[in-house]
Amino acid sequence: MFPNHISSRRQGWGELLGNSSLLSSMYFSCPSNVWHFRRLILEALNADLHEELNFIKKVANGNPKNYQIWHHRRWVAEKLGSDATSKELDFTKKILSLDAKNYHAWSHRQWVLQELGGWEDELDYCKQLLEDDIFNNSAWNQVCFNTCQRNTVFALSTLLDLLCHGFQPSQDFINAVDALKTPDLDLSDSNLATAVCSVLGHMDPMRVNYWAWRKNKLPAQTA
Amino acid sequence: MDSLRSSSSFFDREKHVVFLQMMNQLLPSDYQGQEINRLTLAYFAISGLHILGALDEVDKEEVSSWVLSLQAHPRNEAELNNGQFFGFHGSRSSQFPRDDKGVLIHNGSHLASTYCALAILKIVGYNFSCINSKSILTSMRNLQQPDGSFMPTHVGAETDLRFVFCAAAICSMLENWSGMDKEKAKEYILNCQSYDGGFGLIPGSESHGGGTYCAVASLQLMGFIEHDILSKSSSSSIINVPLLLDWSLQRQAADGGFQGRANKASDTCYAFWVGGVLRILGGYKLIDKKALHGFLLTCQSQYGGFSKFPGQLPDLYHSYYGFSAFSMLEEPGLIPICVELGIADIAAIGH
Repeated sequence: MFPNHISSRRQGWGELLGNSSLLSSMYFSCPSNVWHFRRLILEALNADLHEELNFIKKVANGNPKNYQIWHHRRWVAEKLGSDATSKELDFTKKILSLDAKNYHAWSHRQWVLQELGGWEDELDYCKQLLEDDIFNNSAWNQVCFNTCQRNTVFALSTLLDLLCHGFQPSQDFINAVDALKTPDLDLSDSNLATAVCSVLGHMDPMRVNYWAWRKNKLPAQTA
Repeated sequence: MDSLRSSSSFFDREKHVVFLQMMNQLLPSDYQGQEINRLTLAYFAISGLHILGALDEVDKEEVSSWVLSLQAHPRNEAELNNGQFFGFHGSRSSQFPRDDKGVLIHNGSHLASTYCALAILKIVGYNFSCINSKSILTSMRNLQQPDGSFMPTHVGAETDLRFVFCAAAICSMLENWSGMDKEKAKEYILNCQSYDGGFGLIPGSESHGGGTYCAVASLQLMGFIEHDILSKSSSSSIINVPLLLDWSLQRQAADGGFQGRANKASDTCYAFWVGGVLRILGGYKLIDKKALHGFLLTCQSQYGGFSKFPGQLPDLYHSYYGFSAFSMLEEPGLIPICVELGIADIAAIGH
């Protein structure tokens, strides 16, 4: 339906893309339609999607909780693929620096990690957020997300470090680690840190002695 | 700050009715920047008036005609099966007329608008056998994704639990489940249950009051969980009920209000979203009703309506959920609600 119109009016549509003030009122009165329309134009013009990411950044600044904008961002990122990875992680980090619990930003970040990768620094990032605000439940959820998704020794050892530094997670967190236990593991572990050590001993058999030693060395007040 | 604080220590029903009537007449431009559209605002106003026992203020015929005028109709069988969703538009501005050749260039039907439309029609007692439900149900299936979630429109948009709820509520109100694959939807919902017992809006995301309501209400409507499950002897359920109960009750904060997520500020609307979950499970009696009542009154505006946080200006969304919350608290003069459908009980049952 649209392509015919677009091919005959390429120049006009290009102007339309750039004119964000003209479109802004349209964007909000019938959101789904206009963003969809914009995507058709972007495709027809084979527009520079990195530029589009910049445009979205500007619009998102005043509207960090708008579903349409985040969906549009995802559409663009998906098209760019791994070229967009670091930009997306930076973008969500910026939004989270203004509101560390922005639900949309966290959802987008999780999507980026799963689809495009970039896990390497994620736990460090979560650690930093928790140092800023130990009660940031979104960051805790992200640690759990990491642990469940990656199921790596690194994720669990990071969690162990956090616990040894005195971080007190809520009771719920134990359930996440519980899910990683296998039937043959010692189930009498009554606290999270010892449970994590047990799981690590199982997942990382090369260093089973080390994890046992860590378990013995746990500070008395560790959760 | 003082001028915004309500001086009232009671639920001021009269003021709230006036507030809603005013909202019904005008639509302040403040709402333009939000995604909430006209039909949704009408749902808040009309359902709100109903809960407050003031529905006679509403011209039911006029409302029905207006709502029905927003329905998208396929011309023929072929159009019905071309992949579009034929539901209701949110407003006239998203409703494009057919072109000279009678082709529907753009159909802005939206699941949430469809939910609101049907809810309003239920409230005003419109005869549902007169609704063209076949096109709604047949075309709604096009919106369901392989993972069981729903897109709100066929042009492509975010998918999450909100629209699973809309779909389930639509099928329930139309008394016809051919509009969705319930099993697939159930699977998606279960994937949204988080390690702490609550539900995120998408799998992996943080437990959230709104997401949890959508999950539990949908499962209840679809018949996958029993009502008042906590008082039943059967100990098994497809969801982790004890953990969900704990999560939900933990959301009542020290100030008496409900928060949407752990360690966030109490917000009026979660008294409905999370309170509603507890009501469905049969655990509402376990909350501190007095404390909740007290918190909600601090969000009651002297202008009528409720605000999100204490002492702020009211908005229609928080007002509606404030009224719903007071209905659940059995405030005298308010009519009981059907929590899982988000309308008054009597509307749900049918006049």
